[in-house]
Amino acid sequence: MEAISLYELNQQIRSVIDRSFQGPQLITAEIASCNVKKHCYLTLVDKENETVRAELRAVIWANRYKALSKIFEDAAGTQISKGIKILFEAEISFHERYGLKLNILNIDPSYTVGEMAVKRKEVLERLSKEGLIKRNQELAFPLVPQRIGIISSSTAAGYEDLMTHLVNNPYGYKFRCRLYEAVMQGDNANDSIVSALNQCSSDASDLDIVVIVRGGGGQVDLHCFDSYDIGKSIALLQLPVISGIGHQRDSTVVDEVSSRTAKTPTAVADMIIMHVNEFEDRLDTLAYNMVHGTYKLSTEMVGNLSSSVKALEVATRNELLNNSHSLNLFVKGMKYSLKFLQNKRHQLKAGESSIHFLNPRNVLKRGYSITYNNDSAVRAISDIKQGDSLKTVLHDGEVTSRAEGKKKIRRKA
Amino acid sequence: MKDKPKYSDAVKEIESIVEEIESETVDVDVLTEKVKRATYLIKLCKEKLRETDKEVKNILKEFERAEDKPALD
Repeated sequence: MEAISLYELNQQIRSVIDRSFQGPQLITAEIASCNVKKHCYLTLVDKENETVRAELRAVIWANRYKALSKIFEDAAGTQISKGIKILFEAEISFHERYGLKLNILNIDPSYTVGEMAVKRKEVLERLSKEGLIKRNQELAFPLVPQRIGIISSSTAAGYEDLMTHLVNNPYGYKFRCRLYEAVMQGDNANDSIVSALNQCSSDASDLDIVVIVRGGGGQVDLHCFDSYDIGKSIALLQLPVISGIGHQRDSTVVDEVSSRTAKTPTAVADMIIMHVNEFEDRLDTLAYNMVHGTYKLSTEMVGNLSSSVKALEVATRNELLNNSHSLNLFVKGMKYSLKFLQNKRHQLKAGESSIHFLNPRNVLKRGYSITYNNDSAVRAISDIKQGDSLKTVLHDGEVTSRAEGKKKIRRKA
Repeated sequence: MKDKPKYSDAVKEIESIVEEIESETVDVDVLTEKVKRATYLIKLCKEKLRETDKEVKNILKEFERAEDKPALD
């Protein structure tokens, strides 16, 4: 066998290829990597059950790339990026120096949309099978979502919109927001968002809800939000999630799995503010009902009291009327008793002086004396015989004497 | 009243008090106490919506001091 130079070999390969493919070919593949440096350099793969069975590099030349990418993004709602599947038209070219390459001329966005929809469906089915789809929705949404964990990019316009609206809400509610910085598009979005969700999980006791926002004008790269990983993380989070990833199109896995969804970050802010306002309405209604109820109660009580007082008045009056007769008798009797007492008192006083008068000592004082013969008082001359020892009691002393004689005096009474 | 109840607990308590008042099952003697308690909770919730924790603590302190004054009915 004769040796040929590499250049000659490649020339031969080139002509074979050129002959085999007349004009552009329609091909389907998945983008494994995407680098834009003036030109867009892609690595395309073909997978079967997650195993790569074919791989080839492709290029979109600069002049074509600008227009093509815009049309594609507008139509598909996602950028030409790693992870999406595309249907494209390309020239197969083999260059002696640069080898085999696909030169992409056109990409069909509806295929990608379709593929994204398929992938989304698959992810949703998988999450559904694992019982995760409704988890976040079934969490009790807080009465007052005041402490908010925000997953977004600080440079994203969406984040600014959200914050402005929350801070300047017309009711003066105060929200405490914590930003969990994440990449919201491109290759790193998936891991970044999952990591942010994990951080929210650690901080769950300090938060009431989690909000995922991005976008605000410009192009959207949505396909990262159809990720199984992100969907699962949301489903397992202990806090309700509101997704506000700013799109007009089909809802993504993130939207399906989140507790609530809003079209834009501003709409998310409004949703939160209105929810708090509903709670305040509830408070105000309770306050009003309480005042009303209390007023009614006290009016009733006063009413009852008045009627009770009236009833008492009437009853008392009746009682008095019925008993006035006996009252009179009673009073009369009292009067007589009083008179009687007064008489008795007079009598007593009179009696006092008599007693005073008849007191032996006082009698003695007036000159009378008592004579004793052997300790018995002498009343008549028969009580005495001549020679008896006598004792005479005076008011202030005693005299002893002997009877010398006696003489009876006849008195005509 | 040194507790700082969560919104859900507070609103449940307020609702039960208001229900008692509306259904007229409340005892006259405790009526004043209950109205005071409900008012306190409502005020606390509304303030909490608009203030940070620090300020809420101050409001609590104020309210407690006011409670000690006998003039309140």
